[in-house]
Amino acid sequence: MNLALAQTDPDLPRLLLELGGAIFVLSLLARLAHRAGFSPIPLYLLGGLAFGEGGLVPLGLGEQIIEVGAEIGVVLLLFLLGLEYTGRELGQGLRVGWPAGLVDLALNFTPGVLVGLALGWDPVAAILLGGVTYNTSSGIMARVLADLGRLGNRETPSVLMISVLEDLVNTVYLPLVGILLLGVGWVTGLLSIAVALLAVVLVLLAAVRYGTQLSRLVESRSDEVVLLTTFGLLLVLAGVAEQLQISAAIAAFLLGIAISEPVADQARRLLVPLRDLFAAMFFLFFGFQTDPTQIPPVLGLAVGLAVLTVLTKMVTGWYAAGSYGVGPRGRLRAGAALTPRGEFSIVIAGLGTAAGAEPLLGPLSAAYVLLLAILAPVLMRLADPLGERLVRRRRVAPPGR
Amino acid sequence: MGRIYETPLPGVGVRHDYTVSDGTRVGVITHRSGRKELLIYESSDPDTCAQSLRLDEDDEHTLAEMLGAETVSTRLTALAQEVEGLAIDWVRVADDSPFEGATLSHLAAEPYHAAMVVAVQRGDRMHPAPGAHFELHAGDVAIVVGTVSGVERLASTLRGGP
Repeated sequence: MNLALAQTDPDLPRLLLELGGAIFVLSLLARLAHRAGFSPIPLYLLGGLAFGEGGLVPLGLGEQIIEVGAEIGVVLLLFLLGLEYTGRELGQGLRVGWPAGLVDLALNFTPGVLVGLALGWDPVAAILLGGVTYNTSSGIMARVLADLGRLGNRETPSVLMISVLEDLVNTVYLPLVGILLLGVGWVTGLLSIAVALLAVVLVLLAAVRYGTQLSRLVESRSDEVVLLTTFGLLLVLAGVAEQLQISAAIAAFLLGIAISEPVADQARRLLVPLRDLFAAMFFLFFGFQTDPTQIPPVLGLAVGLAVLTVLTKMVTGWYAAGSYGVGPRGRLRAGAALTPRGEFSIVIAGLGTAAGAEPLLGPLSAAYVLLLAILAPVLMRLADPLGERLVRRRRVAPPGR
Repeated sequence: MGRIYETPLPGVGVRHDYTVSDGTRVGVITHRSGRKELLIYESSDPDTCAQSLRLDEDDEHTLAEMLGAETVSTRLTALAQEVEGLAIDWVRVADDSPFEGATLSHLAAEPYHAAMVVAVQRGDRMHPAPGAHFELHAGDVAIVVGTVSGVERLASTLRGGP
């Protein structure tokens, strides 16, 4: 390290201290969340609310770095969400699970849109809120299922299938939202939508047909090479996308979908630690941008929306598991497993906030995700005793009454 | 052998399950990382997993070992599937086999050169890669590897009879 350089930049020590402090606080929050057995996402958001504008401890310089980190975080987050399922799993999901996927879309996208419209929001903002209520957090869901030892249960494939289908819907939804947020006229808009859909179809086709060749470009025995290649390519693509006024997050998601095994496995393993670091910054930054004084007024609304969309997800899970021949207890567990909302909802709200869509979207989504990221795992735990009681009552009830 | 069902678990891996003869369902999840998880289902509710056990690679081998020498055979079968034209057979050396009491060097002679004995199981013990002076006895189980016709020829001689 050049000592002279350090002296010429008087801001450097403060910057390092602030950044280090922020990451250290995040680590404490993550530790707390793991000990309590729930997702760290709501705590990161709360941390952001406390540190940001109007919060308890406003942060200065470090915020700029965290902002860049947050951009990288959202790109990595969506890239890994795109990588989560293989092309084969996506195809299989579409063939086997589409009825349940449609039920999921109809029951969980609609409430958000309707509430948004009822609030007198711009239709685009309402569509964004629909995305917020629609997306189950596959991260929280998978983790809690593993913690509760439910991965082997018979209802589990049905909820995973729902998650796969949500991924597929997002390949269309995200580019559409990206275009709607640009706020272009009808003709240009329709044209852009057509171009975007064509691009999506091409990406998916390329993923299925040329995925192996594409992956071979990245392939190497050395972890270092794969890490630097994927991370570099990802950021370049994100930059190009932003230049073309397509959100970097959306481009990253489509790239994730396009990359296939075995590079996908390697990239997943290597990028997860990076994602954990930068995604934490993203959630923190989202909290920064949200004015905590705006949360209390929307809290009642968030609670109502949460209750409503917990119920609709329960119905979705009940239906999806039923088509797999699962009994009532398992169907109830499936419903509860679909209730968590998390990273995807925040990303969608973040897209809206960045485009200046609707001032209330940020606080409402933050409060909504805070509620469901904390309560949904509890609900998943409670589903079993609840289901047992339900089954017992049914058995005890004398027939024909 | 019971019927094994395979269920894909998107984003997680794949699950295989099977109902043992007392009616309990058992299963194994193979995670994408290769890690395995052993599942035992509740007998009252076949949807619910009563016990799930995370196994590391060591546990896997130990457990398989405890369940018997079958592992050796499945690994060999897998090998045979990989190499086209390679045949494997398990042959019990009969009392009236011409090779009862003979060393393996005898087997290397002319009419049998298209097959060889790669391991011998005697009682509970397995003797992998036995040397040329290893003596075969009635009751031994020889594992024979070679071309299809070579293995057939050697096996029928070891089994004795006409």
